[in-house]
Amino acid sequence: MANKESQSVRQLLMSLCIVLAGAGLVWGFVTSRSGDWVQTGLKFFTGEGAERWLSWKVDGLTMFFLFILLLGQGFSSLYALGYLKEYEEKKKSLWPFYVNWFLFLGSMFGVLLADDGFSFLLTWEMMSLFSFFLVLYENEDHQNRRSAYIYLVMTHVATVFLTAATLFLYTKTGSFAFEVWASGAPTLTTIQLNLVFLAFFIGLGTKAGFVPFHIWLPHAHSAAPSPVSSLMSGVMVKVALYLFLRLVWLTLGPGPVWWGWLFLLVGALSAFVGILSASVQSDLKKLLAFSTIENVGILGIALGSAFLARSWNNDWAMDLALVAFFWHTLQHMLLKSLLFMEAGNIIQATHTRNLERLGGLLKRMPKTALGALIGILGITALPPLGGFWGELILFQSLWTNTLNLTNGWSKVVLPLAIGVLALVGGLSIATFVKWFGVSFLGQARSSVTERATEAHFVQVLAPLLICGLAVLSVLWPSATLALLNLPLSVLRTSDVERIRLALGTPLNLSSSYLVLLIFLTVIVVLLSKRGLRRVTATWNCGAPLTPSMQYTAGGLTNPIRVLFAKVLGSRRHVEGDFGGTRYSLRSLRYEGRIKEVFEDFLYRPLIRGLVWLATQIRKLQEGSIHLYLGYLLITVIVVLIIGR
Amino acid sequence: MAGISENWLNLVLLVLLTSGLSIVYSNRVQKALNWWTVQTIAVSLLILAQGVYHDEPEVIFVGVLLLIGKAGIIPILLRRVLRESKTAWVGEIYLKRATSLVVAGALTIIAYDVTKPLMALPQAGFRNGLAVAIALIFFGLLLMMIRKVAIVQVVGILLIDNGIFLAGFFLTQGMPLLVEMGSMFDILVGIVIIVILSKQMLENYDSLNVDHMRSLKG
Repeated sequence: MANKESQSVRQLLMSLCIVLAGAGLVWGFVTSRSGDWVQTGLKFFTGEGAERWLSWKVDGLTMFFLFILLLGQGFSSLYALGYLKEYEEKKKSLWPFYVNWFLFLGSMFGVLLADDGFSFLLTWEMMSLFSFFLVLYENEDHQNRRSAYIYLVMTHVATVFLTAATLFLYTKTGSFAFEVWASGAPTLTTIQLNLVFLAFFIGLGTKAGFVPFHIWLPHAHSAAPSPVSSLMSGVMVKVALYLFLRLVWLTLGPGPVWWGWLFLLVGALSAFVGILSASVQSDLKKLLAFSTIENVGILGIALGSAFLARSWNNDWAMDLALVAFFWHTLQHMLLKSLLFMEAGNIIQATHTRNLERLGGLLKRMPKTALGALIGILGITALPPLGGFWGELILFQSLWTNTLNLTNGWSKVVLPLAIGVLALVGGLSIATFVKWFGVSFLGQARSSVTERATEAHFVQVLAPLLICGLAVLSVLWPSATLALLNLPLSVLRTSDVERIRLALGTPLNLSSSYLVLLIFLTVIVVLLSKRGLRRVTATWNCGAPLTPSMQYTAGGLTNPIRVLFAKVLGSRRHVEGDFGGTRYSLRSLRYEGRIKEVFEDFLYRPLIRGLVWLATQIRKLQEGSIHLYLGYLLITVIVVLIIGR
Repeated sequence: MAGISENWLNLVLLVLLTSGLSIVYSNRVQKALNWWTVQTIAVSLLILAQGVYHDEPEVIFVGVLLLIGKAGIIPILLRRVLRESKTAWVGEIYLKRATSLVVAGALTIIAYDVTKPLMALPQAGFRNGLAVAIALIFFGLLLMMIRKVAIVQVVGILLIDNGIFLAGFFLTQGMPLLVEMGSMFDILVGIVIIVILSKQMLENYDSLNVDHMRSLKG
């Protein structure tokens, strides 16, 4: 059994995290209600003059994401309180986890509060590093080490771009401060501005998980321990999106129209590729990770719509897009961390991530199932939970943008984005039906699943608390809108009240839908209690029911796999042993494979090219005396020619 | 300086350049060594003539030293190693003989080009001399680069040494005796060491091909 001492350490540290998060939230509520600092920003530890570094600032935009971070910190720590018990029982040292957990949280605070390029880069790199260590925590598994390595490489490449952009802006403006950058941005030439934007886009987009920079995300999010996955997926990805607003929207200023298009198209691509890959996954957590890419894509579409509306001076569409962005950010943070926690519960109960081995968990883990069900209702954008309203507002924003246009091809592409969004919505329902149906419904597909029991109390409590919050955010939309108003008042220049006009009615209606649904549920439950429900065994032509009669995870989404075979690069191979007759089948072997399209077509050639280049460069220094003498000759000639 | 007439000077320079090119072009180590000996004799004659015309015993002394030390001792030493190694061919890599001759020609042109700003030397022939000296340095480097037998590379070093010596001579019209002797002693000791090393190579690899030395890399 677990050591008494390490148990109290775990309880102490995680409670400390929760208490700090709670205190932060209370402080945030109190301070953000008062004062005009929300728009202008509250600075602290600011250095002197233009040469300043390590300066920090809080404004409304930061405040919103601080709320997201504090919520994530509180819930994940609460969940970790239970989750970490398993490691304790396995006698695995938890100190690496604690240290990196605290530093990871702290560095995310740093990124959000940074007010200059230097502290931004510093805390950003810290964030990458400590999350890398957390992904590496379960390093006994070779696959996890590989995942962590891919993550490290990708995040490093991203930092190269960010560093380049930061240093470039520093040389141009002579300062690291974001304000100075903002005032210096109009003096840049178009090419410089676009290059800086692209560097930021690649650097931040990698962390956010935009396709095609997303390849690390499914690996890292599924390899990390579940509390870490929920924090990375719920919060860290959002921190990258926050920086898009901070560095591109507020600092580089209104750019050319194509910035908006880039966000929109990359967002649409991410959403589509993300959900398509998720739908054919049979790994419990990888599926969720791909769904994160999808949601980041949706957020990218919202950003794109906002940027486009900004350059077309369409305030209405811009407001809608920004509200959709922040709304969806909040909802996705809540729901995705919830789903990762439920996945963690399943993994701890069954010790497998493979959907094909799960099944029938509803009876064994009812509370986990309840949380998961509410989670997928929210994340698949089904009314009346949060995901739906976010996407609805996004649809409206795209549509308003389209209506305002006279230009030909933009007017065609924008509705196409709506179409993509609709397709993504449909696919996400299929995906999560599979995720929930295969793991919770039916019969257990393996013995480990049969022995599964409900998770630790706090591991059930944390997701259910999030469920409550998700319901509350829709039930009391004016509170949520007040939260959304914090960043909006920083980002927009027009009056603040219009947002209420734009959204008041449908969102206030949202709570009535929810009330109606709860009412309906109560009626159904009451009716079923009154004996109108008949419980019998499922009829199976008289034969007993066996687990192999159920849909498999692969079979459930096979139509999608076949339909999008070109995009997914899916291949299948069926081997049947009919034993002489056509009518009885002795055995059947099915092999399905999904190609990692982006890794195969984009990253492998890139890596091969780099290795080739490295070998070419190594030839310069092969240890051949003749070659070195040749360099000598060339140097002498060049020096003589230059020096004459 | 008016002592050596322009015609004589040009004749000597012709010998120097031709011998340099011939070293690059030669297909046997023995031949390259012979050409180098011819060149060194020409250099010492140039110094001797300079000394005789200007009546400077120091310069004459240097010339004699050159004739004995470089044109005498070094070829004997190298020929001995060569005989032991039974190496005949120069071992071409990167460039064949014909191509290397073309490259050497191009290097000569470059040498003339880089000495253009030094037109103001006291005697017009001296500028030619300087160009030839720098061309010889280039030839030496080229030879070391494109041949793999150790002795040829030694010849390359000697060629460079001749070039440097000539360049010093044409630029300063006679370096101090101490510097001359120092440089000569230096190259002599260098050659002795190289001969020892070459013998060592012969013992270990039974060949003078410097490619074998790669196996010494850690």
